[in-house]
Amino acid sequence: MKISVLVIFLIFLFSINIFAQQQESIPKNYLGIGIGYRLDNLKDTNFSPLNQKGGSLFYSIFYERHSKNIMKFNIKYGDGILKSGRSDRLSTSYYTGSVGFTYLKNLSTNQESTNFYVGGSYNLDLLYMDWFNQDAFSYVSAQGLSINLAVSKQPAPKQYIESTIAIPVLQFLSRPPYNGIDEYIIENQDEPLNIIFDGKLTSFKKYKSIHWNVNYRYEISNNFNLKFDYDLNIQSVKTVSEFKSLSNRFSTSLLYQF
Amino acid sequence: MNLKAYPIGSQQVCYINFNMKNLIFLFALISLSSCSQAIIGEDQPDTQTNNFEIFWNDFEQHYSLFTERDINWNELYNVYRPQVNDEISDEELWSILSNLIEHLDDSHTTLYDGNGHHYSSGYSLNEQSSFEISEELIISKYLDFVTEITSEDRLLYGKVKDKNIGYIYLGVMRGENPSVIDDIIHELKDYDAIIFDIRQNEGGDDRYSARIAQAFSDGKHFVFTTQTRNGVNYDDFDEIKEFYTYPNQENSYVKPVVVLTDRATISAGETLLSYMKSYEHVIQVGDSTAGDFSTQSNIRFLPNAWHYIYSIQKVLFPNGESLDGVGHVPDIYIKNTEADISSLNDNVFDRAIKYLFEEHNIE
Repeated sequence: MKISVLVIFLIFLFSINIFAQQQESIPKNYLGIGIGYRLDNLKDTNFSPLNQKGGSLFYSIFYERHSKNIMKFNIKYGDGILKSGRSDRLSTSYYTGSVGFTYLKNLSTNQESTNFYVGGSYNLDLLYMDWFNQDAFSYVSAQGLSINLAVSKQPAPKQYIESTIAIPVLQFLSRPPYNGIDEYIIENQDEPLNIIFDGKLTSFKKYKSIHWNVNYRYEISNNFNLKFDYDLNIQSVKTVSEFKSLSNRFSTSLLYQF
Repeated sequence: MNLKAYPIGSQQVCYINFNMKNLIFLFALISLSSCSQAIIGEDQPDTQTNNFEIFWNDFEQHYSLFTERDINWNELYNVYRPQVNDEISDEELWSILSNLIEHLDDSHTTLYDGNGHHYSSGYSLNEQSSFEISEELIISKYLDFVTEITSEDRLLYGKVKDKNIGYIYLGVMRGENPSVIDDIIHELKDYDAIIFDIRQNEGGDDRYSARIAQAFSDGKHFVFTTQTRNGVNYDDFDEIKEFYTYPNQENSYVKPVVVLTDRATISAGETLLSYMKSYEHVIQVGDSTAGDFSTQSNIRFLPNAWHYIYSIQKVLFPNGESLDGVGHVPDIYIKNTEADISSLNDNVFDRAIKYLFEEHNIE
């Protein structure tokens, strides 16, 4: 079942890519760097029975190619502190990172002021928590394919608004074992990538997530754009332990247009 | 919201739209904040009863040694739960939780209050043993010279006074470079025997233990197995992992070795002893070790911000036996008292020298 979903999804992506290449209009390329702040509320029962809340700065670099269709590639990193317990006395460092590739196919035959898109994306999302030099730690690593729906509008010259919803359909998920530590983790403690990517393909039943982005972009000159993003991400993971998170992210970025 | 009437099509339309967008963002943020609890769930209440319940249940579902240590955890709940209500003080709750974990007699189980205080289960004997050894006495009375390995923690070696016997002290299983043991063995290789002192060894990394033991290897031996608890039932454990000594190497030290131990030889210190005792040329002299072999859990948390740690594995020896709660029993049992140390005698050290003379004619 999982494999057939994956095959259908890949065929779909491949077909819209071929179709898109036949109808590309003059493309615009953007290279951007961004900075933002994320507010996180989460509960990871493998790590703690307590709700944790905190915030972190995050940074991004990205490339976008807009023609009739849209292609995006981005890398993000952030780190901050989560608080929990009486008087927020428990402080946990947390680190977030993501790598994403998105392709959006324009559903309209011609480019309009309002365009609707459907597409897919591959994302790697990682969250790692560390309490006092690894006296306690936990992680969620998910990588896989998502279905994307998007709408863009140009309300005025030089101004663009775009909104996207992404829903993961097939994920390779990595979580700590029942007791947080086992011999595999002990053996690989000096090679964290082995631990973080030691996962399993998981179903929609065990991993649910939704990501909503809305952004406003303004062309401040022929070569530079300014962009403001709001992202909402909700995750629910049910493996041997439960992980739930709600993340609100605000960011701004500068884009070089070429 | 700005409702001034601007001509449609001008830049001011965007001004209105932009304000609308801000309002939508604000509304979304407020809505999402309020539904945060709906998504994440209610936080755990910080009451004395809930702190007790979380603590007891967490052990019930994750602690690995109830069977090995013959603990009836449910019976203990019936004893201690009635003592807890939301009106008791933090000090009273601390006392109740400390008394509860004391039954485990497992110094890998520790409760921390986050303000520098902690309580370790079954630690009184271990603590007492710290007065039954003196580094100063060993160096001044028993050794000709001492060389400290600065790259490692609490690692030094020397020569026993007027004897053809080397001496190594190792107080912790943590360091940058455990292979430095090969250099030490190279320095001591011409002595007829080595006294390897791991009294007060506080443990650390089992891999460090394995590498230290490699320097004394007389061959590959099956030493022990580990399993990590992985379910809600007391007998839910993951697959067995077997551990062996490294094969001997060209420069292994295979002459007689006497390992000195006490009650505070703990954890990875005991793991080192597990490897060492599999060798034919090694004996243990001193007191039984602490009997705490398991890997410890991640730190666990309570709503009142106290935190704690416990055992999550069971370690079994080739005969299927667990030494948790028992420790490695010495081949020759002897221990110091505080009075012995005060009168400048280390009976354990003396007994090791006597053994080497009587059994191997080494002096």
